[in-house]
Amino acid sequence: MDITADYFINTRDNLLIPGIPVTGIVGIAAPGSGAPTANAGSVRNKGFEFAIGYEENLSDAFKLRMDYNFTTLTNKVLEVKNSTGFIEGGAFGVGQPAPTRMQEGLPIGYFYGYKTDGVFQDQTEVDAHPSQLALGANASPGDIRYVDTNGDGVIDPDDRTDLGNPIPEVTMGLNLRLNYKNLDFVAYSFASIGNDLIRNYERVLSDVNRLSYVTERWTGAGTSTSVPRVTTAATANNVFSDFFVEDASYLRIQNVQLGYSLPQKSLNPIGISKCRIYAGVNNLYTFTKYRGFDPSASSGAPIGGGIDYGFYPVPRTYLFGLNLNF
Amino acid sequence: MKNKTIKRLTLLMLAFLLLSSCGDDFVDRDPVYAIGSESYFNSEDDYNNALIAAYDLLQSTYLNVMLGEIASDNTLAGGESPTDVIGIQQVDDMIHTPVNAQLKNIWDWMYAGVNRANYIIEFKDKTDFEGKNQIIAEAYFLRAYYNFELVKWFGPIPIKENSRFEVGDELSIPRSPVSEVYLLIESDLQFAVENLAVTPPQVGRAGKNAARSLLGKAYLYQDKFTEAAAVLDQVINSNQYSLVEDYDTIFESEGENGPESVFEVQYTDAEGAGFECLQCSEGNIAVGFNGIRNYNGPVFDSGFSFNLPTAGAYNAYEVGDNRRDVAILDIVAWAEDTGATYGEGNEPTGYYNRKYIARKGDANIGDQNLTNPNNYRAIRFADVLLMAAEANSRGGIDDNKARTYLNRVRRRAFGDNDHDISASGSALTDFILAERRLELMGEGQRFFDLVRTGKAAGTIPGFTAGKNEIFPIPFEEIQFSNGNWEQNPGY
Repeated sequence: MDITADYFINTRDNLLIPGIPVTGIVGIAAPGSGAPTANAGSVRNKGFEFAIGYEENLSDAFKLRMDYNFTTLTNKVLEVKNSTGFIEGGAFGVGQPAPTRMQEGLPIGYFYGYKTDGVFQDQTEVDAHPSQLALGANASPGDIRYVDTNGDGVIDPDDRTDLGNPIPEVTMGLNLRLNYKNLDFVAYSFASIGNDLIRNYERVLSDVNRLSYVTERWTGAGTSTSVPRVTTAATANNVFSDFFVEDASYLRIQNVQLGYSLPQKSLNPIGISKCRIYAGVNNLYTFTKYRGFDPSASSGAPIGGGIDYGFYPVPRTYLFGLNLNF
Repeated sequence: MKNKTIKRLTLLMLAFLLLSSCGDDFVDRDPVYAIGSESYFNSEDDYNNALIAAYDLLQSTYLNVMLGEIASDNTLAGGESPTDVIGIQQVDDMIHTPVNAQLKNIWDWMYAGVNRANYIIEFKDKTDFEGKNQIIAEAYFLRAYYNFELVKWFGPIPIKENSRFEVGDELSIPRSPVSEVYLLIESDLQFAVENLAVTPPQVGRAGKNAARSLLGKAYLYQDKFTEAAAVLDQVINSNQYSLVEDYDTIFESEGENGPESVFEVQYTDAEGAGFECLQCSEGNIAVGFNGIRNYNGPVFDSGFSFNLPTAGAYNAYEVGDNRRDVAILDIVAWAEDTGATYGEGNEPTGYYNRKYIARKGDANIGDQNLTNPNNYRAIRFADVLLMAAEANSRGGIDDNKARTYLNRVRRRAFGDNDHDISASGSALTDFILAERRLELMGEGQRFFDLVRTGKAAGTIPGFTAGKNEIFPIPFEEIQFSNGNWEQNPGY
């Protein structure tokens, strides 16, 4: 049995980030131009790493090894090097403000949008709520109700707030290895807990496929308090809000493999020192509540990485193989 | 045996090192990619290339033209559905907000143009060569062109006279009042008028009278009628331009850069384009957007059915006015006559903006909706005549002259003298303004004409006086400025 435990604090100054948005008056939107790469600020990662390994020979024929590890992570932006105090990144929908930010005191790339408070059930509820016209359309029954977070009596971009972040609180791995006589078996699994993801692959035009949750939509007073109505008319239901933020925690069985090595005796006469036949599956199964294809979706960008723009998912692959040693 | 091989190899490598270390040509090479923004402008070529880059942004004004028309009472947004390019739909309904991708595009693209012109102006004295004045004057013309668009759309804007905008300027340079922006536009254009050749070195570049016409327009937008009349008279009296006899031919490809063309934005179908960078297209994107939805038939190509003329626009034409069927295509009648088929999208009116919809016959290089080669007739001689007529009439300068100019345009439109206007005073002014709508239908002028003459409220559905005369500064820009710029009133 072996145990490793580490505590780490990692501070990165002068974080170099490409594509930092800057004012349009300098001409960055011209053909051939682009946003600059700049020292964006500094970030601190704090966490705890723990690993435990256990090995046991249960008998001459039966061996077992288990490895388990987990890492906790807290990310905090310590400084943003510009005058506004934040840097935006990523994209959501068509023509909407950037949905993620780097801002002092918060995790890098945290989500910045509207908080929702259910669905308007009837016109009385619409009338009783501050106007949402500034989001692009007047509300009707069946539309999403947004929270007036600053309490100024109108819903506008100033009501946007922290809606989560794509950085997992804990990641862990569990590996298992078994050997029994000529049989060998390995399994690797990985879990990520507490990472949020922005669902940004739904289209809003009239003739498109929709996700299955749309069948639970609002169709009249009392029918749904979470999924808004479906309409071809313009609504403010598609602005970036926590309706599009999902908990993308997952547990994935990444690899399972079973092998059989032929007995040595039978191989010696033909000059082969080892012959192993094996079968395995990669990406066997993912346990998650996330609605999209892959909860591990990320562009890798430090600001705006936690956005699922829709992409071809990781396939499940079946492997059959033969190892021959001469 | 092995040792021998190693020895030989070592010798060979030593020889290689010794041999290759001599010879200076290895270190002294032309630094091919040593172009820096601060060490540029060393030759005529450098200035020419910088000027081309400054012209490049003119092509992105397709959006100003299309959105300016949609914002007015001439057309509806259209498109596929009420959420198709939501920014355009909102401008049509006058419910646009500071969060609007298209308005942000106009801001970003026009400022890109301003800053590329500013780059040349900043380094205008660095290298001398024959003919440089023409290039510098064109840079001033272009800066005025872009700033004029910006002041039309956004009102007070930050300006910089002698150098490029730099990151950080958004925190310190205030938004100049509209009058100061116009002062810069006027002085830029006055310089351009003095230094530009009458006949520009290439088709599509600005000449002396293009600068005069734009200056006249800038005066007119400020109600400076005396100055406008004077400078526009110079254009008319130069006899450089004439009205094309057949109104229809102006907007076909044969009519490009014709005798009526004072300034034209050049587009081509020679290069592909994609939605990820619309401003990179060398084609006229508005044409594909305006095009007939799912069209199959002669003459025209299909498009996205935006910018649909209203029945009000169609019916504004008198009987006998040849311009109606050039400006507006009655798709129902057309389909009946020709057997063409078409689809319907959002807000179908039955009409299309015929001057600027896709025609058959271009190269259809992909994406064919983004690469239509139709030039935008930015300043036509008919526009100059009507502006001069308006200045003379509204300024109380010379009604007779105003009538003459107006009737020149009307005689071409009707093909006879029976439709001449004989009114004077404010009745004449009204005729001239009504004529602008008919003559310039579909050319992106209507919204701004209504605003500057105080007729927008009550004419444009949803227009709120005191607010909608100008558009909101993009939300992101207000954020970047960190309190330096205030949002326009009402937004």
